[in-house]
Amino acid sequence: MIDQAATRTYTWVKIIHPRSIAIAGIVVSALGFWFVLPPLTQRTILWPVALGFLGVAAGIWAVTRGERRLGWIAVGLGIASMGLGILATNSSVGHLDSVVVWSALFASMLRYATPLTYAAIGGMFSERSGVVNIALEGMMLSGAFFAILAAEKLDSWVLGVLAGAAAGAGLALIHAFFCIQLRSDQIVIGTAINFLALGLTGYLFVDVYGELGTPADIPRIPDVTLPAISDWYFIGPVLGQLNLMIWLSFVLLIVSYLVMFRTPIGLRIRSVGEHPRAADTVGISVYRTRYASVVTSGILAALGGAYLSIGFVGSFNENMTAGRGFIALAALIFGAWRPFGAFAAALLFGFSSALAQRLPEYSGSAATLFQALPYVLTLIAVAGVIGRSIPPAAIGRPYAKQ
Amino acid sequence: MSDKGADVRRIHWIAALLACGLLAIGLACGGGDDEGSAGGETTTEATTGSGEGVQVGLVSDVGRFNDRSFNQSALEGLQRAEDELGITGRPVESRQTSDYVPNLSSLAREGFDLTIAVGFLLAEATNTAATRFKDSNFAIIDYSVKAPPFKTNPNVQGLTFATNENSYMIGCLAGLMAERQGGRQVISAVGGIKLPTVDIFIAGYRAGAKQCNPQIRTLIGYSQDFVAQDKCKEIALNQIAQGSQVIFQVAGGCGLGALDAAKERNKWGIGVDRDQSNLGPHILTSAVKRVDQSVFLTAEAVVNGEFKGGTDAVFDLENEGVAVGKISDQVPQEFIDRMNEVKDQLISGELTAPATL
Amino acid sequence: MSERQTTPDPPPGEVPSPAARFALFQRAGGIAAPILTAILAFFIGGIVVAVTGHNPITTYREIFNGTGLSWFFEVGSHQVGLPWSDASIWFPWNVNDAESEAAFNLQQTLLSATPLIFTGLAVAFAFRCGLFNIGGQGQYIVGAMVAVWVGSSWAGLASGLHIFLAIALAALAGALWAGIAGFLKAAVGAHEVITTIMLNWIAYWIGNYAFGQGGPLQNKVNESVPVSSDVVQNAKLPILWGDPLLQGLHMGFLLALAALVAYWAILNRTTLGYEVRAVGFSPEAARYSGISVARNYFLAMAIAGLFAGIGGACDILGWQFRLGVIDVQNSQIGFIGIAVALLGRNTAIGVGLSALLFGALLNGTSTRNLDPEVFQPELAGNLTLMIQALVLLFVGADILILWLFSRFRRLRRLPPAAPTTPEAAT
Repeated sequence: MIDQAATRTYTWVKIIHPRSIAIAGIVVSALGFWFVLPPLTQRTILWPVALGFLGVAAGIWAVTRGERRLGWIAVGLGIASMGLGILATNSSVGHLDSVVVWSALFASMLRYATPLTYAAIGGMFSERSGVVNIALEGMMLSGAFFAILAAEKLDSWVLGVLAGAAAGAGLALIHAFFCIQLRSDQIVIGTAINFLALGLTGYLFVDVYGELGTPADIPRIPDVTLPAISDWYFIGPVLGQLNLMIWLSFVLLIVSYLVMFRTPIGLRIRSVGEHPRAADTVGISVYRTRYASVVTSGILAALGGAYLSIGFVGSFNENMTAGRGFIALAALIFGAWRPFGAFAAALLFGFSSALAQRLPEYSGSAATLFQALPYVLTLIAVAGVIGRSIPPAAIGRPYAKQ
Repeated sequence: MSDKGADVRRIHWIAALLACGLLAIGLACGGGDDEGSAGGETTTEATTGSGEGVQVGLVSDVGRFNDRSFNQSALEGLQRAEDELGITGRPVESRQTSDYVPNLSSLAREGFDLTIAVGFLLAEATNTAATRFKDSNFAIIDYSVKAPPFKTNPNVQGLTFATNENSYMIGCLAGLMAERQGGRQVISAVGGIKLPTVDIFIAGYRAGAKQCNPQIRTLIGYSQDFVAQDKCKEIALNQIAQGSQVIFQVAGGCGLGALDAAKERNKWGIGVDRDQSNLGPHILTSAVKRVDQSVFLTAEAVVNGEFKGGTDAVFDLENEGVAVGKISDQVPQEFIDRMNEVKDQLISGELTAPATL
Repeated sequence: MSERQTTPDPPPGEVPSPAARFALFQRAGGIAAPILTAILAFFIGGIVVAVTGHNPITTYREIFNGTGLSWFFEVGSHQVGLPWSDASIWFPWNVNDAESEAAFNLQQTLLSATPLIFTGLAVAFAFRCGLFNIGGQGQYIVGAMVAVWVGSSWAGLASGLHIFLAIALAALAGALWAGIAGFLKAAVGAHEVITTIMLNWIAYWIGNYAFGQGGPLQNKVNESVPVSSDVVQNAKLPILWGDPLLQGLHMGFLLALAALVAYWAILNRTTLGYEVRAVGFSPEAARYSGISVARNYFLAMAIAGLFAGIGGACDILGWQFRLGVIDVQNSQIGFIGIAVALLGRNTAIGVGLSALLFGALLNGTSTRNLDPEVFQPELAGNLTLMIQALVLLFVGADILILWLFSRFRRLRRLPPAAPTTPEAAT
């Protein structure tokens, strides 16, 4: 019942083991595609087709020997890399060069992924304790608005971040009260919180800032420039000038992992989420733990929103988060409710968004279709195509204390 | 359970009746000073009052009036007409597509002398209203009455803008600045949704840059959004990563994000629709579209009885319907002279700026 | 989150939660609760209005006048024409919208309520099966897209057939779109909240693509404008009331009323409805008694999408007649449908009345009706949104009241409340 993923072990028995062949197939397929992209930009279809074919073969071999999941992934990847490789060799080098600027893509990916990371880790705290948190979107949005409101009125980005966090905590308290104390349906309440955040932020935004919108010079969360590495080949453009919040998100990842899996607090949270009755018997206060977890999730999601408004863009507009909270939730599920898994998923979605911005080079009108890419990926992820995720056992069920 | 249920139901009914009662009392008492809900007009002091009694309505599209450029500029024109001409103005915001026809027709029904529809999205609705209310005057911004769905509507005037002309001038300036800077000869434009009113700016910009700097390459990106600033900022950052030195934003509120990216990375930005030089020293200039001027002039025409329905009024460089905003003082005088040369050539017809990509 | 758990029955001897005690009462369909919820939401909205320096009473009164519901209070002596004849009879209300402002407003209110009924039913039907369908917006858009495509093609078809085809295909499209989410839930247990939201966004971008410049559904007449072709005259729905040129009330309204009846009939008079409700009450119990939970998940979502798709078609064929990129981007009908369904407690009458309420709010707060002196119209739109949110929040208002009630009781130290109180022993 306790977290199975933590105790999964790998067995590497032989080199010819189906699992290693499947993994080799994946690597070979990816390599085949990579060869035709900048900076190598090989102009022959030999590489993607040959290597992709090898990848497919390896995948089929692995599937027939029992390694289903990785094998099918290898097959899929091999076919994809063959197709995409042929497409890539057919498009001009100029196009490729402008689309696949790896460093800019990676920098863009990090910028997209950061709000998702914050919200996903927040969601992890809430859901690990057994409370479904659909309201990440609303908490993020309110964090974004109140952060910029406070930063502008009080002329300080630190106060802005604090105000945003407070707003997220406030909404989370409402969510927690209705879900934990009154034991209402957690999904309905979460949706209500989302609507509430949308309406409240929109109303206050128009009331305070009216027609002109937020003014131009609002104190922003500073970027961290590292002049030493700014000129390095690839790392420079990616890591040389990143916002403080992005660096903090890395710290958050490590801290949240340690807290959740290496401290008594984390153990308490997880036990409340897996088997609340047992935890209660041992003396852990289920209600208090859940309240704390939900409030934490509110604060973290709001921080993600604050990054968006006073970290990246420097302004606010209605419904600024545009569904990011839900993508964060999907990232969490995709990452099996673990911080690094969720981060990897957030990076994947960030990468697809970054790519979607650049693909319009190829076709003006189909460009709009590419914008749907992150959502399609999320759909595939949640559909469990990549593998079924096991949630905390007691999630979604209100607890009645005896 | 049954006992409890009856209890609760009783509470419910009492509370509901009480609340209804309170509401009824409130509505009855509080609304005694009802001025006539749908006829409210903004009352403003008329300074010079040749237009007293003339009512001019302004109907926005779903972009509403706080889009920080287009619709807002029209609103400013209306306010100026109120102040200087003494007309009574009524701005009506549309929040959803089903508001277009009712908004236009309710103004016409109230006997407004002129109803101005802001934006091409209102073309169909304006045509419908104008056909039905043949005695009212209508005008539509950014749409030609010679284009479908308009057939022969003697009471509709189209207000179109030759924004390709001022963008041509600005493109020339951008090209010259890039040349002076050295490095990659790349400039770029960030558009909102790919619309004719957006592309007309970009087309002129690109051609003008080519005219003054033959090596120049113009990157174009669309955010598919006129509001969300993060999208335009990302596109601008991408373009800067590809070497762009001047970013022209043609995306309303969203475009402010693109200008923000230019500021962050020390590149030039160019504003649109209104003079956006107040955003900072990184603004090279702006492609100003005098929507406010068009509203004012049309209102003036109605006041003077000179309204010309059935035709288009074209606002271009010659009649200052489009202009170049405040130019940064970092620009050397010779560039400005070159730009003015181009301006003269455009007005005389020697050069033509393309209107489509 | 492989399967959303419904509140399990508490083991004997345990005090049931307020929610559990109320679940049965909610399903019994008391009507006072929704009224109370709505009034509470308006009350809190009024507080927000007052706190930000405006007068809530006059604001609400202005809004009420704008909805056209005041038409019912303007009793006089007028005439109304009988359908299919030239005769006219006496009628207490003025139906001429050119003369009566309230009549025109009422038309627009009913016009707005029509799609809300459909999207409300879309959410309600899924809810009855225990599924939370947030995808009403995407299903509506997909239906609208198909309707505008069919409606603008095949100009020679007979009117009745053309309309029928457009609506049927739109319904099918909506059903398929929702069916994806239903299938995923049935097959792999994917959480329907996330899948439907993702499908919303995917439909949004497909719409952007289809009607954008160079897109497959873009019109050929004016190729720079990102709008679809117009619906042909034959495919437009007949107008019931008002000026056909000026967005009068169309037949879609009657269709919506019929849909309400159909909803009630399906749920309460068919086997499918019985199974859907059974799965909604308790998936485990249903499975135990032989009902296929997966099949019902899929069918419930598909029927929900069907309703939303028809809603999209009615709007297109009734008053919109074309669809553009900006329309796709701005549309919020599907989301308001969620509030409609929840306020209406997922019953047919409830959905109908709350759709009317929200339609009235949409029109009452519109700029042409609301005097800017009284209340800024820009704020009014967001006020509506907040009221929606509060409505959702106070769907649990009954729970809140009961909880307060039980707290109060505990304070007064009533006779020992042993676990076997009258509450547990029904």
